[in-house]
Amino acid sequence: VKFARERIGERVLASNGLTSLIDVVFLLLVFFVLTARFGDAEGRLRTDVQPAAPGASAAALQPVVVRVIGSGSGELFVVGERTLPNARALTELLATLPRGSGIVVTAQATARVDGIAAALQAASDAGFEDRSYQPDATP
Amino acid sequence: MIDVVLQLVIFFLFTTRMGEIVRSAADLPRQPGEQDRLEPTDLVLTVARDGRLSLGGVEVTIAGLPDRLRALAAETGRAPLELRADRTLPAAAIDPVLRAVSTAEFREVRFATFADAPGGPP
Repeated sequence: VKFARERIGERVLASNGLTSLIDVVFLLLVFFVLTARFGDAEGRLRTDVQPAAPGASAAALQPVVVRVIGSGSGELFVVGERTLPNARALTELLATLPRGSGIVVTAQATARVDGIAAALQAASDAGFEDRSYQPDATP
Repeated sequence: MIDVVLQLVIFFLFTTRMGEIVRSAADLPRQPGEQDRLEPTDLVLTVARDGRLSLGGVEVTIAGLPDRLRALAAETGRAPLELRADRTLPAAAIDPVLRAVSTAEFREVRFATFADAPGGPP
């Protein structure tokens, strides 16, 4: 490697070496700027986790129960007798129901996490503060 | 100038790595989350697409999860648990995890979501 040296007073700078270093550092900087993910904006859905309780007190107020069902084209939501095709319809229905006794979300084994999150989001949007997710009891 | 650039490189090196350690990559559900944004919690449980679990970046098994959670609770208290579950996982994959969480007497779980990403369920 041939260094072109230039004198500045008493100091000697290896100009070519410094230029290479700066080039490398800039390449590293560009690499990290392009690959770094400062995080997609994230949200969070708070829920309590309650174990299945078959012997729950009948005297207690019954919460609204949403069952998420897996289907080929997405998830369906069952509330009582009604089956809803999407989260928007679920939100609209939940908004008409009393919120005092809370809401419990359960899911069929084949329902995806996407559908569970959609049900929790609908419950949150409909104003249910007391939300629970109940995993199926059977392993 | 070169000092500043080097500092930036070191910053990116550290922030990139740290983010991976604690919040392992997962394709989260596309939902906006709660309107009053919840603060991130230090207790992060990730369920990857292949079903592997990691708690705070350390791989755990479902069998060992309750004990690990109890140990963490003894150290730091029962903070809310952030669940970062891949959006495509079936409930059958996360129900055992949540039963284990419940066994360890953790009650509050926060499902992490991607708030701005498109492609959520209709």
